[in-house]
Amino acid sequence: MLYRQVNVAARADYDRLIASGLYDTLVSSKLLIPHEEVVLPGERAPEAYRYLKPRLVPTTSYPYSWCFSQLKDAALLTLAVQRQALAAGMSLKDASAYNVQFLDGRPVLVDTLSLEVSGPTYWKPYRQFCQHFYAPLALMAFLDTRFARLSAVFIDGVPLRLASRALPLRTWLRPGPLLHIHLHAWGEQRFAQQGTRAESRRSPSATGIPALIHSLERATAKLRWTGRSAWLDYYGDRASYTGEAIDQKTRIVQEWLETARPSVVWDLGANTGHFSRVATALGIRTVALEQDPACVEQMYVDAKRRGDRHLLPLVMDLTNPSAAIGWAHEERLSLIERGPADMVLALALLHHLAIGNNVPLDRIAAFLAKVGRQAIVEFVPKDDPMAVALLTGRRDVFAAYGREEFVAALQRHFAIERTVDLPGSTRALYWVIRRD
Amino acid sequence: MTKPQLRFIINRRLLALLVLVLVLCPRDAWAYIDPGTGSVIYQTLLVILLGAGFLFRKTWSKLLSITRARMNGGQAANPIDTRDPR
Repeated sequence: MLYRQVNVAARADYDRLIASGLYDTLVSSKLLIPHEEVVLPGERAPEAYRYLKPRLVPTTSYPYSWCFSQLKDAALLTLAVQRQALAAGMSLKDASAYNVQFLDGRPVLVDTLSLEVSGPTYWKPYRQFCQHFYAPLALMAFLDTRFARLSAVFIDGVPLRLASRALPLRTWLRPGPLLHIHLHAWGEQRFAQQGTRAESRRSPSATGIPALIHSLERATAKLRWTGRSAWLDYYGDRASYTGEAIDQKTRIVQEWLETARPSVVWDLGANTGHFSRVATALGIRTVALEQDPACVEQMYVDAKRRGDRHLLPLVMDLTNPSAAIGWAHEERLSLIERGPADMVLALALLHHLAIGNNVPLDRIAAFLAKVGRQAIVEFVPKDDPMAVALLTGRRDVFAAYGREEFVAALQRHFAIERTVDLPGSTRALYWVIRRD
Repeated sequence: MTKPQLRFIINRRLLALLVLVLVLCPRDAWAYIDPGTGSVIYQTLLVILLGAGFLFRKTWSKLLSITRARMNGGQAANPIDTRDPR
């Protein structure tokens, strides 16, 4: 349950939002989170004007876990809201990427109170928009998609000076990066010491903001990221599975999910989301966590094309999951704080964590128990071709990695519900339920 | 060019000049510098540029359409009344 308080100070803004019809327009076009006004029991705080109960977003996600297209869609959403707001005599006072969440497969503005009656004739959050959206997108488009992670370090967005210095020289020839990053970074420094109150500076005409929004929309829409990754072909031509084995595995996972009926699934190490799609096809909200941004990009674009409302793919390195950051470690939740899921899928993952990253089996089982109430886990033996590949060129120090040890580790945290040996391979599937 | 359009351009020029004067005549530096201020001032300049570009494109396309209409032997898109109004 989440309530928001509209303070008396924001009364004019809130009233305009509702009376102008902007709220209805934005909600019906799925740009803004819907809410209902509620009366809370007990005495109303003296500064309170209204209490709102917004629709809840099932899984909170942050820009540093989004792929390129997710951040781009969130940026375009922010600009679309601003465009609509201008028509109603309002404007966004923030353009923070944290004000956007993914709901039913689409980005949506969740900060209803960031809309205000437009006062000054410049766009207040121009710099914030560039830092939160345009600069990281440009870094991802022109350099490397992993620059998305910078947003976790700079909580108020990537400093423009930093982005300007990092971007390749050729970006000085492109209008978008030139105007909104390079010259913006220069102007920020050049004029910072003017000592003139921002409010006293007015842009020359009321057409200024629409022109700026239009320019940002064009610049953002033009950014493209074209990446490749070795992980995209994981299920393509690998020797560990026969076609029959993968079909069998898919069938079992589907059957177990149908029986368990979880409302939220986390697919750990989702790769390109084959098993996430098995869950979403059953109407289960699924968060696909994958460390490779290229796979997440593919999942997101594919889900958008299919109109899959249940899938939320996120970039997440399970050996270093996103942490609690911000003021007092309380502004942005860690991955574990955003759980637990009703069910976690840990398929073809065990050997990566245990052999690839030296995590003891017991620690893996403990982690699974922290993030999920139930789990479907695949055991990958040491003689599996993929495990053999991981062991190539290194000493086998994994004497404690075996099926018996795996089952013992699982049983310390879970009760085993079902188990199946996968035909055509030496792997096995376990459905386990946490001992609470 | 219609009167409101003309007024709009004159306003724009005057304000642009004003902003330029403000930019070129810095007052005393403040002890605490808000990096947002620099961005806002930059934005005012950028918007002049974008506005000028917008106006240029608009005027250019209008000129083009008039020229094309004339070249085609027909009348201009917005025929101008040349009769003496008196």
